[in-house]
Amino acid sequence: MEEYAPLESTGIEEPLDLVRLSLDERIYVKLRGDRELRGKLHAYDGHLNMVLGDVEETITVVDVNDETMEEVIRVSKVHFHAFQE
Amino acid sequence: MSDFFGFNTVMPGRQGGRIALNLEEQQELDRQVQKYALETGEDFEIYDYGETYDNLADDLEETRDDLNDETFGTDFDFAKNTHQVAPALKKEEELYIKQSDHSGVRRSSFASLWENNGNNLQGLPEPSHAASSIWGSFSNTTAKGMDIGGNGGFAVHDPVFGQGTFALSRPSGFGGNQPSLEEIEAQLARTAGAQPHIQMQQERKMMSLEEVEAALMNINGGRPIYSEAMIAEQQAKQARLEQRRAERQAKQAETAKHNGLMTQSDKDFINRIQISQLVTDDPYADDFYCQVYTALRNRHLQQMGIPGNMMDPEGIQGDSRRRGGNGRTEQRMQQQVQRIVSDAKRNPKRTNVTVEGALGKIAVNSVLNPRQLLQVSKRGSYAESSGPNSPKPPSPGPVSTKSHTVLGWIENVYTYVLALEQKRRQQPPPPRMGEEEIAGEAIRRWNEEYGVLARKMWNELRITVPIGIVHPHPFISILNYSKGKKVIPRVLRHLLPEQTLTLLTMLVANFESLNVCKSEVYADVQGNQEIELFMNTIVPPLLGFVSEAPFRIVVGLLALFIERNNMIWVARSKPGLAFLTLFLSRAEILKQGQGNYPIPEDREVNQWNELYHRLFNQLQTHFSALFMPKATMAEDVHVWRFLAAMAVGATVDQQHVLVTEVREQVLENVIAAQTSRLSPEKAAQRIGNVNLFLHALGLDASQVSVPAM
Repeated sequence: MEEYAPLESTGIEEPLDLVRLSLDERIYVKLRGDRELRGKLHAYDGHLNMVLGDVEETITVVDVNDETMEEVIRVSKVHFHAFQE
Repeated sequence: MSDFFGFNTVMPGRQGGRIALNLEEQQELDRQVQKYALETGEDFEIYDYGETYDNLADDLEETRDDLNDETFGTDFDFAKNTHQVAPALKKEEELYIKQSDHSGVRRSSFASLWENNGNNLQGLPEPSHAASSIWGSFSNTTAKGMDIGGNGGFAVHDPVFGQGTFALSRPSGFGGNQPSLEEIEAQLARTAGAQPHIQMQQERKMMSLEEVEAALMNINGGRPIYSEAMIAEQQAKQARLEQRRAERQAKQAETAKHNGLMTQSDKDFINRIQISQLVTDDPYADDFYCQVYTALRNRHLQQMGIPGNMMDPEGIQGDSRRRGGNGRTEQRMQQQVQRIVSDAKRNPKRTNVTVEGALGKIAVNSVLNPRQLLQVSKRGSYAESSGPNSPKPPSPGPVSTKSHTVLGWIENVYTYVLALEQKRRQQPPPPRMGEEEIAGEAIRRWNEEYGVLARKMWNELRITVPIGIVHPHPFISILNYSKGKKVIPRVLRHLLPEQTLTLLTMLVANFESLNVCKSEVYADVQGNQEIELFMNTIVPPLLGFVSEAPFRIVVGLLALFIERNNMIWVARSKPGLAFLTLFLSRAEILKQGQGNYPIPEDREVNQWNELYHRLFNQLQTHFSALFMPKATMAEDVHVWRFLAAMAVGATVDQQHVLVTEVREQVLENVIAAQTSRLSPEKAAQRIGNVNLFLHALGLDASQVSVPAM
């Protein structure tokens, strides 16, 4: 029969290759400023700019009460439904 | 936008006839254009920012040069170096002025740069199409300024000249071909010739602004003026314009003392550095979205009867010969970029290149190749020891089909598919008269390269991995990802018929292990999306393939399908039922001698009948279970279709069994349609569905007697 490419090969050589594997998959992105994104990866580039679809953004803010020094953690979530195929 | 910096970009080739100027006409027009250029200060090269200068420089920040070191490197002293070369610069400038008088043998410094690369011109690569998009957007930003000039009555670009430029720039002998070295040089020299007139041109520009105001007044004057408010508004507008003009003039006067500091070659050089960041030699890979968007939009515009704009699909199809001035500029860009890139390749360790006479260093980093901040060492030495060249035997034991591995395969498939699609776009044209030999060579080479890529893609799909080495089969693992499904229609376009058959055979043999092979009842939202995707991507092309297959193949596929899968399970899935329906209906058509094939032999028909009975026996007592629960009643058309396909080939006894089993569903639908619970359309749909089945039995829904409620 014909030959086929080896079953174990993945061609992962650098970190960006791993990002490439996640194309069209739901991914989790951690950003600066306690922000997190969960969405489907549509595209990315060498700068790690990304195009995501159906994204849920989570922003965590820690408020410190001046008098009681009590820490209040607020989490706000925004869902972007845009960019569905 | 059909004009490019105010020029009509309608290509000479498309206009027809324009290219066929004889030499004298050519020269005459050439002279006229040159005269025109001198008079108006108009420049035909987009390198010249003269005319857009006052627009662009307004927003420049003149201070904050503290980052210059980072940009240009610390080892460069601008003032000193410029001072050193000052005499040379001056000489060069004189040369330029002289050149404007001779249109014969001229060598601008820019052109001389090219001279070194003369050989490159012969084997020019396909010019970048991305550049056209770059220029396209660029022209948009400057279009406003041009329009103002145009309306003001100043230098309304003579259509003959505006259009003629492109035709003129190539002697008729070269019509339709890439410009020769001499031509490009001549063009460059013309650019240089226009240089000393920038200043004049700017003055003209100011004049034109006044004229704009006058024109504005005229336009308003043409209309009846109804209110004083309008007049006031107009005056305010005028005042604003006046103020802007004054501001601009002041700014210009301030910067005027720096005029003429840079020679044209300096400017060219800087332009080149800037533009080299944007130009790519593979626009389909690097500027894909723009390419496709433009193609789509142009198609859309053409449908509406509007001809495509300057970024026309012809350009995108990569035929450089059909392009005019735009393409020439691209070629020049491309060459410059290639020089920089090849320079960088020669010195791979340096991250920037110092070119003689350059202002500082040129970073070879570009938008496509950003500066690397992380240094990740490549694979350890163990990988080297086995080496990429030593052939790895397919591992006999159980192989992991972990997600990363499969995702890697899919990405490789995409890589080859994209390469193949690119290759198709570069397919050499059919040979013209007298060029058969050269064209034949190109076609042969193209075929070879295409074949290599197609083979690589085929191997990457791992369809030919024997069943049983891994479970699920590698190809099924690929199909279990939605991007794996999505790539299949694109893959199939590059497969040979026997490869498509192999693919279909593998799919049918392993159908059970598909993740879409489950009833919608058990699938979650995402699962249902996957089923939809499978039905939309994989079923249609394979349906097309089966609907042309001979009887023998259909029998073989159904035999394999029944042999290797649990029919009760498979038939309850939408994709499974679709394939069964497909095989059954195709076989029925062929049995009746339709579809360009002779009526199959008795032996084959007997084989088929045997298969049919096996299938029927397996599904017996489960026919009603094929239907979805009541909630989704209206969406069960595929089940009715399948039942119809079964009914056609059934014996009388089997038909009886079928009717008995799905009697409930038939009645339910007919009753639902007859009582007024449903809208007329839905009722009609239901009757239509039932009739699919009943007609196959020679019955009709109207014959069904509804028991009294």
